[in-house]
Amino acid sequence: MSAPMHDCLIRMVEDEHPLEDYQSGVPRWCSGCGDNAVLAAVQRLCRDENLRPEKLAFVSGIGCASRFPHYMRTYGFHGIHGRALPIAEGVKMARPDLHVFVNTGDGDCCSIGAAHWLHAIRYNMNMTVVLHDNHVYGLTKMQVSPTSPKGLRSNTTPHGSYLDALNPLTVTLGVTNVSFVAQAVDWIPEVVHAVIQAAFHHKGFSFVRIIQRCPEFLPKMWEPWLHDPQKTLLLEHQDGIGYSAGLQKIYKNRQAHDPADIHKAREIASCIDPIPVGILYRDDSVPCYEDIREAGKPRPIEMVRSGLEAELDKFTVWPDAADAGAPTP
Amino acid sequence: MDADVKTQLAFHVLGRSPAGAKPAGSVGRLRPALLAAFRDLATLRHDFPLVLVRDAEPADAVQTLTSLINAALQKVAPRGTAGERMRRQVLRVEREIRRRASGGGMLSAAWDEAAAALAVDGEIGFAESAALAKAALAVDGELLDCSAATPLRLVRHVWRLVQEQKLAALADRVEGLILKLADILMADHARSEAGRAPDALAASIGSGFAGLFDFGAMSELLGSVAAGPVSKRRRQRIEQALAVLEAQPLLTALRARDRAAEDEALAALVVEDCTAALAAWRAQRPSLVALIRAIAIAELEIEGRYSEEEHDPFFAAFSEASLRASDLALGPDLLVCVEDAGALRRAEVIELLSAGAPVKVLVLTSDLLGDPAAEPGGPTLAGTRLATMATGLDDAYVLQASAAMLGRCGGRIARGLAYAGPALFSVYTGAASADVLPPYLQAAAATQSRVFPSFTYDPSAGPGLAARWDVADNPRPDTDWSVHPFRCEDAAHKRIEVDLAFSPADLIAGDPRHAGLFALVESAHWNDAMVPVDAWLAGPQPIGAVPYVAVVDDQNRLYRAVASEPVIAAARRCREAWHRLQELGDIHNSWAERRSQAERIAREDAAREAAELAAEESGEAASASAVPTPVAKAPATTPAKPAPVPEPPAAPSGEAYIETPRCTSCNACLQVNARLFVYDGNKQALIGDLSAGTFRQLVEAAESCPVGIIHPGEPRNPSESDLDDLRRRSKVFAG
Repeated sequence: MSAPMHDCLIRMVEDEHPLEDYQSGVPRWCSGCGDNAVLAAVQRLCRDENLRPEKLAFVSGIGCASRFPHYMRTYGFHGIHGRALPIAEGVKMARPDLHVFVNTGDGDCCSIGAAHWLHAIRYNMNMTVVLHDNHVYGLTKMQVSPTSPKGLRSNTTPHGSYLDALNPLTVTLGVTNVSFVAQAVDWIPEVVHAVIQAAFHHKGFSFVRIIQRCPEFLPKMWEPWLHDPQKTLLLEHQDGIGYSAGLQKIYKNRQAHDPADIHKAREIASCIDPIPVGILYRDDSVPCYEDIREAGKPRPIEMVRSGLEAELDKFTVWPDAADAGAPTP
Repeated sequence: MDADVKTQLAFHVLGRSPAGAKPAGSVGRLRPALLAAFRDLATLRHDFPLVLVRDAEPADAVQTLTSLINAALQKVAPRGTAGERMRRQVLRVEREIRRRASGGGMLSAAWDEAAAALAVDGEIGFAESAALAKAALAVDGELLDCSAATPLRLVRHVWRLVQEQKLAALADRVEGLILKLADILMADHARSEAGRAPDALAASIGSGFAGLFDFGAMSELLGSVAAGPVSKRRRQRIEQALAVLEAQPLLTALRARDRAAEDEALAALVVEDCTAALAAWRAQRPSLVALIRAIAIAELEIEGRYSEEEHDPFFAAFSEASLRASDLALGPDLLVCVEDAGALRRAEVIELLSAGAPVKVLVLTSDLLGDPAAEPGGPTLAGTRLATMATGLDDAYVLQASAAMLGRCGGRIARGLAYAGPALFSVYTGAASADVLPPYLQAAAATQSRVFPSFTYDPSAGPGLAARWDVADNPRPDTDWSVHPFRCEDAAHKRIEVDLAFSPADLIAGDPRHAGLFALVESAHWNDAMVPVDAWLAGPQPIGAVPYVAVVDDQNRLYRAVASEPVIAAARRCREAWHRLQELGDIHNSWAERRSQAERIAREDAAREAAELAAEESGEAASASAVPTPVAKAPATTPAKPAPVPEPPAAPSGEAYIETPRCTSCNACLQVNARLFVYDGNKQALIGDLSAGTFRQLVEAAESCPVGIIHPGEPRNPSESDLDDLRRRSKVFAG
């Protein structure tokens, strides 16, 4: 079967986008912030996949990472705290043709937005969700977040935090309809890029946790992992991501893991030292909510208008309800 | 030679009934012995009646009553003896429905009638069983018994579902395009001077809060930020595309959910003549070209990707020749239903299929053997080659099946009807001889005898024949004939069981028009020279042998019918055609058999040579002296050492460098000096202009780099201040 004419005609005017086409303004993140690594990896992905800027939508909530849409020359929506995911779901329902990315922090996603997070996993809408996990509230000058390590002294916990950290990977892997979970650390850019690329190609809710440094408030936290490659565990499999020879030379701690094995994925996700990186879980068979609900189906303006009128009529006071045929309470 | 044998041999060779031989037509209607048990089809659990399900996926739109009742019983009848009574009662309902199936109607209604008719017996639990099973039926639909009209009704039912599904998708697509194109024009209007006028702004707010706004001020404000209007040419293009998209009657009916208009439009697509179909296709092509052109323009405009420089010349030259198969498949398909009425009609069908139209053709064959009064010389087998001829067109989907097999072909019929190119459905109805055998039995006999075997050729299944051909739906596809046990009694009422093959001769023997091709032999005159037709065809027979088929008369008396030469010739032709089909279906593939034989011979030769060499060597070794002879070693099997992974080119000794692939793009070094450090195409740092910075900046950048990938090297300027301190600090980052 030949390619549809529309595709051929689009290809006639196909243009390539260098990385700069996706860059908007100079990031205001602190020098050394891991958000920069994610931004570079996402921009590389856009360039490599030759994604049209007008077909991209980046949605965020509140936090350092949530400034992300400002630095992409694409559609963006800087939402309110914890609500990045429902906004992104709305964007996807209305415009299923857009590639939707969500940039959310550990506070935004795992604290105030936790309920949305769980249900977004269950809805399994086709979007790439990057959890920028720097383990602290940075924008508001250092308070504990759900993923802060126990004992962390902060403005809200001057005697040290009292609870063990929440593990975003095990939470995600425990929710119905989970379809993609991966992890990377911001100081290995090759893995960040490969993981985000795999997440982009997965059809469904792709959850990527990036463990990030916060050079301002937790500058020493990840020093041991930075200086000891043995403390990072590369997950290997033919259905996972590949690693360059140079990277394998440095990171010799590797483990075979089939991303189809959810039980093993949960076991690996529970491990915090060494840090596992790569694809933990992938299931391409989980249906996407926008497909089930036939998002993007044309709705003529008359249909929308009559639907709205019908709803509004419920609250209309009619002078003579019986004659006007208005619903009686 | 025995007198009986002589008589039978003379008949086989000459085709004449010598004196004393019983003509086949002399004992009433004959039928093949293997069909003797099927006098009453209502008692036989077979595929008919079918149920045409209305609201279903096309592939599931044809179900057999038997399968539906099986599924219902699986759901509601307990396993084992507990559910035995219910199963028996429900199977009685099924039998009663089958008895009444020729009347058609909905399954649910037929069920109620059958249950009511049987309930008069007052059997305990019957009403409950029938009601429970009915509630468990997965679907409802129209009952369809096997008759001359069956193939057309079935194919038309599936065709309609396929068209509805396909056209609904197209209607949705077109509706979306119309809305989006209208949006472009509306947005342009909103940006225009008229759209920004105070009155227009006031109208857009509505009456509720209009008093709160100063629309004059708003108009002025919007005027200062208005973007450029849509160009005149673009507006014209969009309006033209909109006009074409909105002027599609069938799509408009679908969009408006106007069932009557939809029925009318779809009915117009069903044609009963090949020439008329070709003319209709040619007549509808220009409007299809216009529609596809409008869709392409609309999609480009909506995407904002229409380039006048690139696309204008393309669309100016756009014609029927520009259409691809996937484009042609967008529109509705014509359904052509014709009777197989001779060679000319078959030529018309082939011409229609090769015209490049995505037309779906149903050819109904009602007589395979021909009328000897019109065409003497034996069975013609007319209509059995049309489908195989059509496979030679390569791009046509072809399905051949008798009406008896249609219940199992629902999925394949749906696939053929949804196929993007032309499709042929060649169906033998079995209805011409309905006064002898019911159409179902006649059609099933045509499949069993290999006269009209089932097969599918699906060009969309893959590039190779292995993917495209499917002959698996025939009985015993791996053998020449299907063989079945046959039980009877001899004159002494002794039970006899033999295996009988069902060959084309059996089918011909059941046709009274061809009775003259057989001579009946009663059991008293049977002899060892008589050979079943399948054995006769399998290989040379002794001189004097005669071929026969087993037949029964209306009283189920068994005879052997000696087949004359024209019968054998027809059976042989069918077998050859069946062999060719088998090969295409990768059964007894002569190419593969030849290849495997050649490989086997090569293997045997190699083994023999190896054995001879070994024998020679052992002989030489035995005769040689004790002086050891150097033996040539086999090439080393250990793999060569892998090529060393090339190291990245090292920087000249003492010069600063960065391990760029490990850079996290954190900006730390660029904030020290954005000329000394620059980003590459992947936004990862490397040394830019060494002369643009100092050794101090190199060291400070290395210290600020979170992943420690900056190596300052040696200072270039020996007169730089604090060099001793900087050298000490840089040692940490030495490669």
